[in-house]
Amino acid sequence: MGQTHLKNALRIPEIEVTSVADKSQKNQKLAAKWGVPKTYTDYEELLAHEKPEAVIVSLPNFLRVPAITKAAGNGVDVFVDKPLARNLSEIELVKRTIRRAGIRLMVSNNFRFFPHVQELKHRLEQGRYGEIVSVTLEHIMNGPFTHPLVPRPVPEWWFDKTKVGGGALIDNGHHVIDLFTWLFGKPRLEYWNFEHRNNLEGEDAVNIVLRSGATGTVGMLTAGWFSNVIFPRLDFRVILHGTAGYCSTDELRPNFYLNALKEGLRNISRRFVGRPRNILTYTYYLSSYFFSLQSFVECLKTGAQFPTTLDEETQVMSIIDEIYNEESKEHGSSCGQSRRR
Amino acid sequence: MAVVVGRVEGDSYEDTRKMIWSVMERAWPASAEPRSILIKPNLCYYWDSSTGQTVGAQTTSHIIDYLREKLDSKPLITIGEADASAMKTKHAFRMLGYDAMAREKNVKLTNLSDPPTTRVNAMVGGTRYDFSVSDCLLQSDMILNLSKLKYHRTPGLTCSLKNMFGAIAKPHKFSYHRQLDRIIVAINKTLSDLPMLCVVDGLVALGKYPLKIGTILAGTNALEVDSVAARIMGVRPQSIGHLNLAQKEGLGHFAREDEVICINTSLNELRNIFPKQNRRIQNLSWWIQLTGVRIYCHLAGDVLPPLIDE
Repeated sequence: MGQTHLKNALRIPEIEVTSVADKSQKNQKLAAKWGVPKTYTDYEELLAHEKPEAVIVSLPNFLRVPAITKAAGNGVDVFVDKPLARNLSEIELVKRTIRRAGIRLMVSNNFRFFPHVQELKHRLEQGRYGEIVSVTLEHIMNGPFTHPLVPRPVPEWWFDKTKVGGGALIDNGHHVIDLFTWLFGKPRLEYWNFEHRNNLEGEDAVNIVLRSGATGTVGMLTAGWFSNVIFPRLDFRVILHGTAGYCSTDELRPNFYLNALKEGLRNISRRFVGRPRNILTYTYYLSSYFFSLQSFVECLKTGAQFPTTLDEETQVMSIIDEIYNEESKEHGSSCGQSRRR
Repeated sequence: MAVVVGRVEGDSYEDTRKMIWSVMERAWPASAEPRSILIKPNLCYYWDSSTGQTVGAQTTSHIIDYLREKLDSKPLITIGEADASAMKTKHAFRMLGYDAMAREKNVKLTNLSDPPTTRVNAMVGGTRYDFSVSDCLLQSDMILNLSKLKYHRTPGLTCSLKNMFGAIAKPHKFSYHRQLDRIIVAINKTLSDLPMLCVVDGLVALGKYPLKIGTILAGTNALEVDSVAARIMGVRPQSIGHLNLAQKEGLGHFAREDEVICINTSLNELRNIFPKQNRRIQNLSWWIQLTGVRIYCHLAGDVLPPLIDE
């Protein structure tokens, strides 16, 4: 993720990337190769020496809060990967810290920036499908267990539930709960179910039923790490079921290869006439990270509210926290279950 | 030496167990009574057996039951796998159910990347190749080479011969990929003196997509078994680099039709069912996409996704 954010940052004209901190020597060399003037092994040194205006925090889940705290202590605005923290109490700590420091923070909930999701939200707001009685949200992939083209081991912290903050729920599940919250507001937990196919401490499949306290819409959410499907295929969709029709993001998404061709030709012609290119739009999905970072920068410049707010992040983590607390109850949960093979 | 091919309809526990036992019984080397057996399953990554990528713990447990029933010597059975570039054996054993199965069956699990190891070598095409191999594997009376029936983008297919590439102790085996055919043949040459039974798990085979075809192959020569597997997959054995090289280097020969014993099936039937994929077209498609993306990014000044950039 850090490499993706760095590449995007280097292509946003409003951003001057002055430095990068990474424990990996290989990543430091890459950053230097891409034109970053200074690299550090320790982000505390970076904060002390560089005095940046903002930082992008792209660290493992268990390292985010300490880094945000340090950045806030140095009066630096923060753009951070989701989830913001591992649990609600860490989020409350972050909120207090940034309030005291007077800095701004945005969580990169990049699924909101998928073009087909943006279109779906637009149609929802127009009332094209009547009242939305229920919505289906699904996001199933391989989680940390992606076998990259150049193989390398899965970082060990992914196997430690305390460092991750959980399993598929806090990873993929965060995306679908966030989308439900963004589309309908005030999520309330009705039911949850975990599966542990992988025999790990953390769950690898989760089914959740939420109800919106604002609209009454019921959400059927599925998230999981149990599939080996890889990019460019993405097992993700949102389906609105309304009184006047239905709409699926699958219908709004263009053919991947035709889109790549179209966006590629557009960007080539933009380059030749000296217009700015749309970064990574040929991949369809990955451009969401670029747009998310771009909106962070624009909001910092204009003082506008970030498109993903801390209140929404708190609502998302409240649901996640509630489920994990229910799971840990000795005598079982009143509204869910956890099953192991 | 015969290659035995069996098939079970459906996936009931009892029918699968019976079929595995009957294939192994026909393929078992006469009068072999090993006191120690190392089972080397293909656990290439953390994807479970339903994806067609790895050997399931249940399949391995059927084989363990057979060994215990058959052999008066009541051999010490160990299941071993080495770390890979992207996979750690300790996680694979846990995630794929081998930890639990090993406790239930009272067998030992071992990481073939852990010491003690011994340096072994073999000559292939006039070049010497050195490897570290686990002593646990080298000191076993028999290796039970338990591979999958599946395509692989680089060598074309991954079966018995390729499975032993996974037994090399060095974890970062991706560095061998430039000479993969030679390395596969070399490691098999270093182990060629060890008694081996090759079993191929095709219960869920992997071609263009995974498919429950319910087949098991077994034989005592890895090249013979792989040549039959290739035919089932609709691939000429001669078109697979490491199979050709293995034959040239004296590891055996491509099994003839009269050397194949079929139980409850035929090679034609299996070949018709197997979800074939044209490897050349698939590799060409990958190359076109990756090259096209690089050229585009250069022309447009766009960004390569980091995973492709690497």
